[in-house]
Amino acid sequence: MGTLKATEKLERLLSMIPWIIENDGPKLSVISQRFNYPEEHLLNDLTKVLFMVGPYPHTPDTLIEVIVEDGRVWISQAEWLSRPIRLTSEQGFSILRKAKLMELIIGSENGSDLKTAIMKLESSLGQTKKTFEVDIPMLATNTWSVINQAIETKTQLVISYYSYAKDETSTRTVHPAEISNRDNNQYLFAYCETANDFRLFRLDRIIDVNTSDKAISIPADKGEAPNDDESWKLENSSSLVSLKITPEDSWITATYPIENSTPTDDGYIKVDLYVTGIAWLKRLLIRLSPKTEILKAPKDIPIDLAKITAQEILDRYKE
Amino acid sequence: MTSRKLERTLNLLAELLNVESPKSAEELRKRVGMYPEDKAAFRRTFDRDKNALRDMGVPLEIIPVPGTNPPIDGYIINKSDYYLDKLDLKPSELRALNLAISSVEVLAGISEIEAMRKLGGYEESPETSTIRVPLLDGEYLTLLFDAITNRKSIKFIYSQKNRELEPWRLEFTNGRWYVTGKDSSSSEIRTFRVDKILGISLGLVANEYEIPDNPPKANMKPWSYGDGEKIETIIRIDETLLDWARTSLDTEIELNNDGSGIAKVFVSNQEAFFSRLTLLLEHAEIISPVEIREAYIAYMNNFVEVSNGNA
Repeated sequence: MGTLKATEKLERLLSMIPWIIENDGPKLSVISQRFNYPEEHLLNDLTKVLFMVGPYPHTPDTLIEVIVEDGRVWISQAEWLSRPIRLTSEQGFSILRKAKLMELIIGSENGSDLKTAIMKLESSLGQTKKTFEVDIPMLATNTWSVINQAIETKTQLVISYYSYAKDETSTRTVHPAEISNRDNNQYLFAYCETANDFRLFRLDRIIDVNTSDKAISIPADKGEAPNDDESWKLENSSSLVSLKITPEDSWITATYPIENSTPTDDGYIKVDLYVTGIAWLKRLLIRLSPKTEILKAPKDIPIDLAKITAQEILDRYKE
Repeated sequence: MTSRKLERTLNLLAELLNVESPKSAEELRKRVGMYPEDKAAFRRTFDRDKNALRDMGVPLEIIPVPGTNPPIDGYIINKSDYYLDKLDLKPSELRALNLAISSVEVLAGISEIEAMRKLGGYEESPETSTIRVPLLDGEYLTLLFDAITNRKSIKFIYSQKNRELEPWRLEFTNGRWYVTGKDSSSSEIRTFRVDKILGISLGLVANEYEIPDNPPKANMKPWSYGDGEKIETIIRIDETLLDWARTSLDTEIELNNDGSGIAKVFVSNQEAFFSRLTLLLEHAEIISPVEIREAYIAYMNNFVEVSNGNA
């Protein structure tokens, strides 16, 4: 505990005084720890500062009374300080959010301390009618808790992962670094032995996860986990594809990272974009107009990919 | 020096919480009695003290001193805005909250320790492991929270349109924050993505409206928007994409013995539904009703026929 600034002292005193009043002579050492207030300052500020405080005309009957005896503290004549300042919106929001997250993680039965504490807070914050909710279904899953535990204990994981870009499932050994939020999804950021580099794995595409008993060991040349956004790779390297799209599909220019977009003479739009895998492009093409054409693509991407994709889906519907 | 400032600010607070009508700066100087005589020096010190109180969340109001003309600024604290409600947290409840605060780590979150002190003290829970929850913070979250707490309407810009809303519910779902409420001009219930809200301002009057019990959740299913009849649609989904289907269709999935799953959704907007279903490629199949199944087959046939025509 270092030295506190006057404003920090003020803030802590205003929270501490109601608690002292309510707790019939708590010990100085307990107050000091509970409100993070160095004990020597506490004694001084209670007996030399607070003792001199009260409304006009500062007569003995208006000044706060502080009694310190045998290391215990009593405060009286402080009716106006017998309750703390209400929580700011930021504080209320923040506490309620964490309490609700905890409820998601550990589950909470009716009548549990967490549940009743949340209800009391909600009532005080005017949020009783289910007006503030946090829902992260992944938090209640086995995937989340196993990964979280592995990050905590620095152990390797074996995951079965569905690749959206390639539309295939693979088993990989990964060295977890953190769980992060990107776009609107949760990802495991980990060093992947298969890729020999750091990769992001979307949690809801992790089909199965198991802990191994091996500790994390990332090859020295890979260094620390990069935290620069640019160095995060979702999948393997991507390739550039040129599409001719109808004006009705121009929404994709606002949704995907488009390299170039130019109108064509016949009223269409030519767009160049990086695709991270065939499956990714398949999904895009069958959401666009059937009139869309692939103008240019690497050799492994067939020009009639939309037709192939639609045919694969139709095959499933054959009697 | 620090002690003196602490004593003076506490005495200022003592005045403001004990007076019945607003007091001018000059009256407060006399009543607190610890301020410099020099006018400029007093003003500087007084301003600093006011700011210190405001920074802690003290609702210090400025209203004219009654009977003054020209009006003189008067200072007062509205006691009902100042004091925390009596929460009567039991020690075990306080402990449960402290455990949540110290074991859940939210990216970019503020520290709750000061707030926990107001509730009765912060205790670290060193035995517990930390759970990291990546939860993006939006700029306007606390403003929206405040608006709901105080039932204040809000104005903002969304998709380049001016909006006025009675906010009812703030929620984090599908990886984003959303606010749902009643649009003041159309009286319709609408959901907005918080990260797309611009230039928000809160109404000045509190308790402007009532929030219904159980206000509707954010509607995250584009296929459910539309005037069409809601058609119950059954889909079979392959084992590999079950988790993902659960989040992208936002529905419970019943498991079959072979590992595949059955999802049920209600479709009002067929086009939006197809657009979402295509993401599952050939790993999903519409089982019923026949008309939606046939329409999806026809939708896919468009791609096969156009390509044939081009060839």
